[in-house]
Amino acid sequence: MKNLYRTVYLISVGFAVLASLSSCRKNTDNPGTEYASQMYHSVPYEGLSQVTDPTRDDYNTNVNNPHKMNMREPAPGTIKINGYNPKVGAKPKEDLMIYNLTKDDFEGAAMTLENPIAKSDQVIEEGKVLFESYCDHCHGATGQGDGEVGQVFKGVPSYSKGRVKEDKAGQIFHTITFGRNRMLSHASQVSVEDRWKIVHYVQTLQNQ
Amino acid sequence: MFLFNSIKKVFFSISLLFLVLVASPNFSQAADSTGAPAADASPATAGSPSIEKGKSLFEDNCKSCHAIKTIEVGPALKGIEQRRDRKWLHAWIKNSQKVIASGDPYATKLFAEYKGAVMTSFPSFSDEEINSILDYVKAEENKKDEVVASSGGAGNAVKTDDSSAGYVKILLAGFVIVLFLIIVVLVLILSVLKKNLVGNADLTEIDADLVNQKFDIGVVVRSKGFKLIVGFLFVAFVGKAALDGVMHIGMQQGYAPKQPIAFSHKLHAGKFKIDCSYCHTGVRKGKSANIPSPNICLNCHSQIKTTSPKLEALRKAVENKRPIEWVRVHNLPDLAYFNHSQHVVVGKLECQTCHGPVEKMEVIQQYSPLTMGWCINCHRETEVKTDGNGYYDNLVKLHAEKNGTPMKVKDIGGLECSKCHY
Repeated sequence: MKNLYRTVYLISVGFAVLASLSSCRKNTDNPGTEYASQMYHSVPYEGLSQVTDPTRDDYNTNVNNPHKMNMREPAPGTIKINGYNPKVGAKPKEDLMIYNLTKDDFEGAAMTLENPIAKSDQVIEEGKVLFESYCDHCHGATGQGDGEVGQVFKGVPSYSKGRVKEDKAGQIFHTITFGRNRMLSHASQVSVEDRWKIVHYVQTLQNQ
Repeated sequence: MFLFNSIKKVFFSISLLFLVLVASPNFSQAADSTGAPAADASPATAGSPSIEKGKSLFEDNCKSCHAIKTIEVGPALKGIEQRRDRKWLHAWIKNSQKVIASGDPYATKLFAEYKGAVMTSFPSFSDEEINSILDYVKAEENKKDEVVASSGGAGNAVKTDDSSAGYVKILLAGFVIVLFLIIVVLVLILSVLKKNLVGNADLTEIDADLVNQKFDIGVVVRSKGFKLIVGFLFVAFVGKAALDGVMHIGMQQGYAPKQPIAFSHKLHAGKFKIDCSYCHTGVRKGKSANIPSPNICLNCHSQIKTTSPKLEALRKAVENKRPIEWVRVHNLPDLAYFNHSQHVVVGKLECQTCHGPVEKMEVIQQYSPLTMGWCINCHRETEVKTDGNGYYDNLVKLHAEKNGTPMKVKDIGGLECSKCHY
């Protein structure tokens, strides 16, 4: 009888050891030891990293900004340097900086805005790559409004049928910049130059 | 036979009842349409050219916001002509804002109900075109019931399929428990049999030896070989653990911190196929790939899952104009310089080369070690993608003249200290 207890005991211990080994997993919430944290963390304020613990040597949080952020929103009215096309004597339409329309002026966009980038196969190809990054999960690969997100988002129109087919280049640019109906502004993600390249590609989809 | 007949009867009566139910709205419709306004001159029949035209117009212009039976962006169109007459509908479709501005009470109420969502105006539609759309809607609302009813069974079948992975796990756990129980039962049987045999005098010598054999664990534990094996295992395990600990100082591979919002890359990048650069906008433009600001989340979440408790932090961030405090996962030491655009645009690398299968990660984690050895190894092995990049033309020519091997990153300074450390 004593042997029996011992056997059962050994089997259970074996199981316990196996179970504890299999549950051994690295703590994924802890980045681990840092050897020289002063060399690892930037001394100047860096946008995407913050050491918020003031007791650490490498504390690098900007106390002067709201919420102690290291990044700030640009001041109102700021123009991105590469959104500006300072051609002396350029016609207003050629200068991207002239873009002073408001969100509601969709009709005005058709008249005042012209694509400053000349159409070429290479530009359309670049527009396609950008379209695949920024547009196709809603608008679909062929612009039919059938992208994976578009089906859930609802209300995404087709480019080649119905009212959107008639939209002019300036209106497509205006839509990306300010949004339209349910679509919100994508100006913070897509640069002015990239928007005009996307316009070229969208126009090929309108006429497919 | 009797049973079969009665089942048949029950089926028959159910389908009869079903048919009656389906058909009844049609009857009421027909009765209503007799009293409809003059614009509804000729009630079109299914398959007529008017309905076909209406169908294509509906699919090109209306479908993205309206469905027949369900509320999508705009109201469900079923029974629209019981709610409004055609004259009103014509005015509304041509310019809905004008109808609202005129102070029409129904229009104002509708506009408020849909939280000021503006319906696109279609001034270019002719009266005949609008009528054909309305005819199509009417034909469709009668038809839809059957489709919905017949697809009910299929929907259930799909559902059971989904949970099969869970069953497999339960089944496996069951097997393990059963196996363990079998072992216990076998040991018990063995001991009972032994107990019965111990006092038995009829046993042969060999059997008696077997029965009376004593297993003494003490002898095994005290033996030299056992001590040697245990000692070796102990040193090996402790040594490896210590070495691992030292080697992993400053290395954060596998780091997957809890984030303020349980954002799933598996859902967004995997299922919904949103491109990485849609949110990580800096990846082609600069050093950092960027962590998206709340306005980028809102591009979709202004409409999708707007009331989900999981997105509480997002709503609060937008409301209070305060950024979401994501925990940074990839902490490349400041002593090393890395540029995303250089690797993605010029090097034409896929994000997954370094970040692993992000589109399959429920919780984002650091996939690669991000050590210097790891960087250098890739620079030694990777060929420079020079196709279509005029900058490299001369370099490729010179390299080919000097040594015939393909031009790797190491050949253009990929191993220089000051390329990354300065």
